Amino acid sequence: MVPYQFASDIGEADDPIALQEYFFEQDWTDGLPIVPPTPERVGAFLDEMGLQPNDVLCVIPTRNRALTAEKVAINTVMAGCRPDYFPVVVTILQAMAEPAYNFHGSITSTGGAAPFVVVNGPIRDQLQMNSGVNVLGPGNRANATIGRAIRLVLMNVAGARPGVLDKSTLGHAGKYSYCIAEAEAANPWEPLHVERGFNRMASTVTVFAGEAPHGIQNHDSGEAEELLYCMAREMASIGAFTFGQSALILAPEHAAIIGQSGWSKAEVKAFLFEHATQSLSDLRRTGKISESFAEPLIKPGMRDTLREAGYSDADADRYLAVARNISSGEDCLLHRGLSADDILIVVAGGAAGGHSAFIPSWSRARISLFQTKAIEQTCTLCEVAF
Amino acid sequence: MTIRFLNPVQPAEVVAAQMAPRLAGLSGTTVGLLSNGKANATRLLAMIGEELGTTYGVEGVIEDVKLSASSNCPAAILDGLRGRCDAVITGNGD
Repeated sequence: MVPYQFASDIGEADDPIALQEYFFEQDWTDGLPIVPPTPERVGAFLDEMGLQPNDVLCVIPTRNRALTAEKVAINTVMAGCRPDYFPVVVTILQAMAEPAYNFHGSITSTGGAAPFVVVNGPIRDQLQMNSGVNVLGPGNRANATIGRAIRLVLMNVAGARPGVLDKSTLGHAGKYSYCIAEAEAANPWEPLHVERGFNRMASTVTVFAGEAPHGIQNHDSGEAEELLYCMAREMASIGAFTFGQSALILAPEHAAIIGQSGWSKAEVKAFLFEHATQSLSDLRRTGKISESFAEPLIKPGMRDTLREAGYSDADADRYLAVARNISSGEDCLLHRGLSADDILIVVAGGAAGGHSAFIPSWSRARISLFQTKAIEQTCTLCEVAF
Repeated sequence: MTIRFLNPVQPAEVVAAQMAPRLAGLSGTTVGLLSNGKANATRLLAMIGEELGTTYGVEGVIEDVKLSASSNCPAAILDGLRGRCDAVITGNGD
């Protein structure tokens, strides 16, 4: 007996194959088969969080569209998640709904970004998430299905169907799933969520509207500065160059070399910011920054607009300074991002191999900022809510 | 065996909006030009503003700009335009 009154229409299928075909015909999937969202299964997901079907989990600010627990649970079931993954899915969507993330733009733009998710804290082990070998690839249920659940929600609940609201020119493979756990034990510094101001025992998601990863292969160097310079040059690659934020996945091998050399994480970020640069003349020569690029930014009142978009005072001033430099036309070096804090560093991947990755931000400007949010759960050992 | 399933799609909520009353004419009016932040929007709107003045007798234009095409226009900008303009033109100059 299902205890919930669902608002959704209930359909019936005679057999599992007919059901799959029906979902394909309705354009309700990402192109892969789904787990049938039966009322009983959806109810189990709501039970997991003590939610009612009509509870509003978050609202997409630009479109004023409310995401209900019922619809998010249906799509999370379809993705193949277990009920205990549901709080992670909900928290990711709530992080994306923070205005500074730019939910609507990031899921509909020609840029074709996907929410790149990093999970930190004890929940990584509780859900047996992968932070190691093949971390961006297939093979782990939680990584694969949590990311997939987000995609199905974006398509079916947020309306971002390819060709309808999702106008990605290319898209990328991360739009099927783009969810990893941080290898906290392999991180020579504090884990990402602690750096972002959370308790080490808290479980969190960090969400970043990311393009496809750029591989950074470096097997030969054993020197921290060489490795970091290599990474910075990849971050400065001109095709991906913007003033947006960056994510860098450090392979454990690279992280160990850098960490053992005595570099702090703040020093690493400062070095990357300093060297991830392009000259204005090259940006002009390649047509990456046109003469009109800075015009909107140097209009009166832009500082207030930036503040309202989630910029700190310092970042607003930095962006306006960049705009003035561009506007002056004099050659100068321009950095990727506005400061070292625009670089998100996460340690993940197999223990062997010099393969790190840079993930560029979506959009040609800096209009989506990464967000970190705590996953509401209760520690079963101590019964303390984090 | 019959399998029962729930529809995963959340339909869009449709809210009826009232159109602003049409102006009797443009002569002597003040028109807001709101750039959506795209690369050439500011230039395109400036050209439109010039044309409005020379061809239609618009007395003044007020320019403003929002950060990006895909995010909400800050309330302060909207309130500022609402208080000072008879009409507002916004658009995409990508």
